This record gives sequence, structure tokens and C-alpha cells, in this order.
Amino acid sequence: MFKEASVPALPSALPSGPPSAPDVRGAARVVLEDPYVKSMTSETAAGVELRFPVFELAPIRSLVRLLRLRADDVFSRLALPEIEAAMDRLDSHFADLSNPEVRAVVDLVQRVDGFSRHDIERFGLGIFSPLATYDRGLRGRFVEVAFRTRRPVETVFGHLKRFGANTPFAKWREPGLLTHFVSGNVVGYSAILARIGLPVRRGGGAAQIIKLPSTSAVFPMIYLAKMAELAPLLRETMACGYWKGGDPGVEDPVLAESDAVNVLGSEATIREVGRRARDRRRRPLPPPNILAHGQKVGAAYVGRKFAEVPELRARAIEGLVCDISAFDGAACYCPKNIYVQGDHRAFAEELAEGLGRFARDVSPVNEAVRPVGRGLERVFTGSAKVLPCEGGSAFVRVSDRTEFWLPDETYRYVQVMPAGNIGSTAAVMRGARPFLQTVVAAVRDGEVVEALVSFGGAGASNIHYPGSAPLLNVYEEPHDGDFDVVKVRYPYQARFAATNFKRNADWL
Amino acid sequence: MDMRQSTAGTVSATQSVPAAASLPGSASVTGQATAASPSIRAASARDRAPALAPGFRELLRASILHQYDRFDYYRRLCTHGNLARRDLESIVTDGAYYRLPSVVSTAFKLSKGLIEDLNDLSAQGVFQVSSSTSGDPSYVLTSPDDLAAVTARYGRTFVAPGSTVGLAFAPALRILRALSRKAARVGRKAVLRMQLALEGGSRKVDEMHVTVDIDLPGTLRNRLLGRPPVIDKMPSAAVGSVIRAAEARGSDISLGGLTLLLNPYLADFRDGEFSLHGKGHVAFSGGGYSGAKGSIRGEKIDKPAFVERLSSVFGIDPALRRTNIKDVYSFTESPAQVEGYWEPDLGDFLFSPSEDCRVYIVDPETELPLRSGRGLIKVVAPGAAGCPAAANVSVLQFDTAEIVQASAGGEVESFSRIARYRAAGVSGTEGCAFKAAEIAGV
Repeated sequence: MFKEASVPALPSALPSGPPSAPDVRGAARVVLEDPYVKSMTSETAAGVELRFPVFELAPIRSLVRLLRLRADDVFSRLALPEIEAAMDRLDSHFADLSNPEVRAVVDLVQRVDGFSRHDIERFGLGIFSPLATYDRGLRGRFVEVAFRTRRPVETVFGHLKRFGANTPFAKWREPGLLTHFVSGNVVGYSAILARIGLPVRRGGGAAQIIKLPSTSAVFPMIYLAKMAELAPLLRETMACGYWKGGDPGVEDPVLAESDAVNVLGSEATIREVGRRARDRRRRPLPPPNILAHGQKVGAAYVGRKFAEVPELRARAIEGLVCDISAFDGAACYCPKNIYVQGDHRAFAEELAEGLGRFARDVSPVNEAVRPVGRGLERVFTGSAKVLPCEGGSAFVRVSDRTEFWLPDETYRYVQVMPAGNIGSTAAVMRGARPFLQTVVAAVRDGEVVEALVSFGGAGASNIHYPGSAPLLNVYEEPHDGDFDVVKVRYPYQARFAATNFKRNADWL
Repeated sequence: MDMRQSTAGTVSATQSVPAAASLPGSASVTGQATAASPSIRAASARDRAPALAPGFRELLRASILHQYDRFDYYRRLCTHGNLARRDLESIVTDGAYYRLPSVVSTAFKLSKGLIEDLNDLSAQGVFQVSSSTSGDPSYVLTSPDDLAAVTARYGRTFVAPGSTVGLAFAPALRILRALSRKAARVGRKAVLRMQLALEGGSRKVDEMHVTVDIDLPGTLRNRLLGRPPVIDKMPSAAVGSVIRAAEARGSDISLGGLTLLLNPYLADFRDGEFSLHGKGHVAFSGGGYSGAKGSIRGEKIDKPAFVERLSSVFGIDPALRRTNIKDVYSFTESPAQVEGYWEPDLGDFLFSPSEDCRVYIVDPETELPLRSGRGLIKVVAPGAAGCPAAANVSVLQFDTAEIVQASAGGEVESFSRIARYRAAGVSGTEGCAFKAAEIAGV
């Protein structure tokens, strides 16, 4: 398909070319290969033997050299429209849940990681749906406009706003090698990190190394395997596999060669990788550009109308239940602090019922995290402040004090509190600015932009309608306040926030 | 974060014996862990101690009923288990203490938001705080009576009878007191559990030395620059001098504290560096065998090799390891302190609950007591005066241990191989969500 798009048929520089996608339908053994990383390791999960590439010390420098050469070659021959067309086909493939091959992937991820099928379909692979059909002519345009103005910029789905000023000293520098330190096994964003290094309008294109967080994070490799079929040359610009985090034998040479490093993980991991990446004893100047994505907390704001009008309250709760439960509350976009204008106790009770029903009927709790729920059940059985949901599937804390609660467990576990107006609630959130991620907002039409300005100003990155917290549109929304695809080339100082709706008719 | 203290000392021969005869089944059963080692049978402290009023049962009855009356949280817990006040009385009368509903130790953690539910803020007392550096300590309100009892008990466990010199591999009292002052909450003073251990020990000896202190000039200089305090670690030569001085005087010396703070010193001494023999007493605390305890990091400690090295450096004869080298299992959420002496046949410490508490090893799911094997540790320990200021009479701790000996009624007489309960914190979903304990210090 890629070749049909008039791309010159480049002979692969690799002895065997990129590996093809494995057939995962009902397979007891899944082999996930990388064209550059030859060593493999096996892990068995839920009766499936998974074989993964593992980076090793000895060939790492030659691997980096080969990868850089190949990336330079590929990007010098491919035009941006051709790259975009190929990536759109890849996105369309995973967006089509009726495709038996995609259903098999959902099944494999469900078996290996234990996530509910609902979450994988709706929030995991489904993250690609709006991307696959996004107007190519508009990609990057809203970001450019937002750099020039402080006013909210209307996008296709919502609004985008810049906060803070830019440094005049930032210079555009195309990285030759971009290394990603991926964390977690939540399906979705981790796979599309590979887009960050692809060429943009100005050209460029980086060789990319993707470090898998563990051998149980299967989706990134499946995504890349499909890329090998639909965009084989682009696949050859990336090397992906596992190494033990902190292994200096592999990490030090990789960091010394990287022009940009994208780290997702705990604050400790980010600090450590950043420190070593900037270590001048290991590399010549200039230091690499480092993108840091630490662990975050989501929140929700429910305006009076959505707390009091029964039909609207039901819709808001229906959406929140989905957002809270997504990947058992382990994702940074999952709301944890729920601010309610009006009767927050009644709202909390209805939310608890909804969470229990949802876990029973739609999205059961991952068996592997049940012990977390059991632990919370033991703690809160004697407490009148916490509403346990059916079977310990979720917990709703009720507080009469408006605060920013820092959760002690990652689970379907939230705190509901009374709220004032958007401004006063944003002031509370501001106290947790470094950790704030998505804010789910159920507000009147006239308050949507105010929510963007206030919650964005408090540090939130994405202001989403209920039921869409995980659905990040990378073409018009930032991740952790940044557009990685820009920042990896142009280390600007400002940050951004965006809504994914303009009015409630967009989702109600 | 919970804190396990290791302290040294002896069991008082004057403490009470519960009405054990009324317990369901008095015969001992030997757990699987020691089926091949019949020689391992710890003489329980209860076997050795004569009765003294008020007995354990009376104190427990008063404490558990006080707890039921004072704490809505505990009443709800009882209601959840279909137990009324009179049922608690019957349970105590029958000696079936394992049936008393337990508050899980993690409920006391600050992050759980239950401080006011689990502590009687109308009562006198100060908060005992775990010496957690995770940013999520436990807060347990402790009455003056209980505070005095815990401190005195630490004195007995930390310092062996006859010891006149103490050497604590621990932070100095001024550091612990400063940290305690910072931990004050809701207008109440706080005290780190580790401070009680050191204060208790200090009161029992003529001279107490500590290995970690503040470098005052450096700290003052740093304070002016807005930098953190400078910590001064006692040099190995100074440690050696303290021990040699005691040795020269023929004094008994008690060495104790955190294994992770002691372990690096062992590398600086030769085998046979000291010849303490029966005059050397070693007692450790706080776990840390994994190589991590709060912010302290060190090498992973292999217990048999560690004890062997202790023994050879300090000149404690192998025959004395069973009496002179011990670990103490305790945690802030319970007043109990369980001492465990080195047991070579197990290659680990053998813990024997004393007369002031009852320990059960329970099934992690049903919480019913096991007769053998491994399970969660449940501790039943009344307040010193029968009116505890926190709901901590019966506590379930997320640590596991292996039963060595248990009565037919499930009361554990000895146990070993303590470890964290992994299932409590294991997650199959590794996400990007914030979890308070993971970003402590940020």
C-alpha cells in the first residue's frame, strides 16, 4: 500500500527488511520483532508466550549508527504527504474495530494485561479514530496560531490557548536521534509516540529508539509491526525493544548519542534520565533536548446545572464513570478530584452507584488490581466518609472541604467535594499545578472557554467533556501542556491547554 | 509508612499471664516451617511469666469496649461483621481474641484521611508517628500512660540487663526531636516512634552513643544559605573506641538500631576486632534487610551472613547468638513489641510474642487464624491503662510471617520469616497516574 502511493521502492538497508505483523489471533505464542534488535527474550502472560526484542550492550553503538544512516536515507526520499498518507492508513487500520485482525489485537491485550475490553476498544486503540480522519491541511496550523496569540484559538473540535511567554532564545533544531523512555502498559498514547520524530512541514525527521517499559506492554510493538506492513520504510527509522531501566551499559551510549530524549515516568526516573543525558563527560555539547512527562492527576468540575437537572446529571455521571474507570484509574487523565456545585453528597452517592453498575455490567476491574480494591475495602469499611461500590470495584470519598486531594492508590477511587464557581475551583487546583492533567468539565455552553482559561491557567492541559477524558487529539491538543512534536525541535517555554468541545451539543 | 523497630532487651519476669487455661485448646501445634526442626521451640514469654493483676484479659476487655464506645469507625467495623458490644465481651471472655475485628494498619496513614475517625482527639495524648520518609506516615494518638509504657518497654528491649553502655546505629535524639516537632498535626504534638525507642534505651544506660548526628557548624552555615542540614556520621574509629572502652572496663554493651546504618561499619572491622562474648548484646530494628528503609539505601543484607559477621567482628560466640542477637518486630500502629532471637536452624530470627499481646497469623482473605504456613500478621494488644486514645487494640498489618508454633486456638507462640505482603501493593496496570507515595519529596 505504501509503495502504491508512488514512493520509490527503496531497498531495505537491513539484511531481512522490517518484520511483518504477527498473527495474534488465538495465538499461544506471539513473536514481536525489531529490524535492529536481534536479541530476544520470552515472557509468558495469561498462557501466551511473548517474545520481545532486548537491547544489548555490545551492538548498541553500531545499531545507533545504522539506524541514523537509514533514517537519513528514508527521510531524504519521502515527501511529507506520502508519510502522512501512510500514517493515516495505519491509524485507520486500528480505528476499525470491525476488522478481525484488530479484534484479535484487542483480545490479546485483554488477555495479557487484563484490561477490560471496553477500555481497550474505547480508549486504547480508539484513540486513533479522530486522528485518522483529521484534515491534513489543518495539522499543526492551530499550534502555529496559538504561538502568536494569547487569545483562545478556535480549533476543529474546541479551543486552544497558550499560557506564558516564549523565550526569544529558543532555536529550531532538528534532532538526529530521538529516544523515548516509555512507561506503563496503558494502551494508547505510548504507541503513537513514534510520530513525534517523523518529519514536519519544515522537513527533518529523526531516527528513533523506543524503550519499552516492560515486556508486558504489547501494544507498542503490535503497532510498529503493523507499521512495518503499511509503512515499511518509516518502520526502518525506528528501533524498539526492552532494556532494564537504568542499565548503564545500554542507556549511557544511547543517551550520549541522543539529540532529544522523551521521558515518561516517575519524577525519580525523569530526574535520573535527565541528569545522565546532560552529563557532559559522556557527550559533547549541545546537551539533548529533554521532554519530561511525569505522573499526573485528573480532576472534574460539575457545574450547578449538571449537578441539579436530573437528565444532565445522569449524562455527566455516565461520562465520569467511564473516565474514572478507564484502565482502573491508573492513567493520568483519570479524574480523581470531583468538584460539584450544589449537593455534592447526593452527586457522590449517584456516582458510586454508577461506578458499581459500570464495573458489573460493562468494564470489570482488572483481576490483577483487585488486591488494591480489597486493601481499600479493608481500610474504609469502618468509615462513613467513603462510599464503597458494589464488590469493592470503586470507592468514592466524600469531603465537605474543597481541596486538591492527592490519591494514595491508583484505582477507581475519587474524592467528591463541594465547589464554588469555575474561578475559585481553579484556584484550588492551582495548588497542585505540577501534577494537574485533564479536567473533565460539565459546564454551561457559555462557560466552556472560561473553563479553558481558568483550568488551563491553573495548570490543566486538556479540558474535556464527560466521557472523553482519554481521547487526546494530538493535532490540536497538548500532552502535559506541550506539543511534543514541536518541543522536541524547538524548546519553547510557554505551555498550552485545549478543550475538545465547543458546546454541549457536541457530546450530549 | 509503617515502621518496624528492632530493639534489644529482656522479658520482664513480673508481667502478667492471661487466663490461658480458658483458651480454646491449649496444646501446641508445630507449624510446617519447623516440621523438620523439632528442636526449635521458643519458650514463650507467657510460659515464663507469673500472673500479675490486672491480667491481659481484663485490660483487653476494658480496651476493646472503650474502643467500641469511642469510635464510630470501630462500631461500623463490628456491625459489618455482625458483632455487637456484648459479642466483643463474649469474645474476650472466651479468649477467642482472633475474632475481634481488626483495623488495618494502613488506615492510620495520613493519606487515608481517617485521622479523626481513628484517634480520639478529645483524649489527652500525643501522636505517635512512624518515621516514614515516604511522605505518608501513620498517626496514632497515644495517651500519656501508653506513651510511658511503650517507651519503658523499648528500654527493656533495647538494653540488655546489666548494660551500662549503649551504641545506637540511629539518628541522634535532637534530630528525631526536630523531626517530631515538624510532624505535629491538628494542634497536637507528635513523636516519632524511633524517638521513643532511643529515649527508652537511653534511660537504661549510663552512656548512650549514636552514630548519626548533626554537624552544627555546617548546618548553621547551610541554614544561612537556605540549604539542608549537614549530617555527621560517626567514623569507624570512633565506633571502635566506644566498644573498646566498654570492653576495657568489662562493661556490658548494647548495640542496636537500624541494620542499614550498622552494616557499612562491619566492612571496616576485622574478624575478631572485638571480644565482647557474653557482654555484647545486639538488637536491630526497622527491617531494611532489602537494602532500603525510607530514604536510607544500602546493600541488600543476607541475614545469616550478617549475623555471622556481627558475631565474628564483635566476638560473640556462636553459642550466644540465640540469646545475644535479636531483632524486634513492632510498628507504630500497635503498642506491641515482639522480640526475635537468632535461630541458626531457621537461618532467621524466631519471634515470640510476649505476655502483653497476642499474635495471629491469618489468612489474607478470610482473616481466620492459620495453624501453620504463612499469612498476614494480626496483633491484639490492649492499652496500658485500658483506655487507648486510638482504635489500635486489634490491628492487621500488611506483613506476612511463617508460623513456627501455634496453639490449637490459633494463637501464635513463635513465628519467623517476616516479609511485606506483596499483593497489597501489586498492580497489573502500570499507568501514568500520580500516587502520593511515589513522588515523596518532590
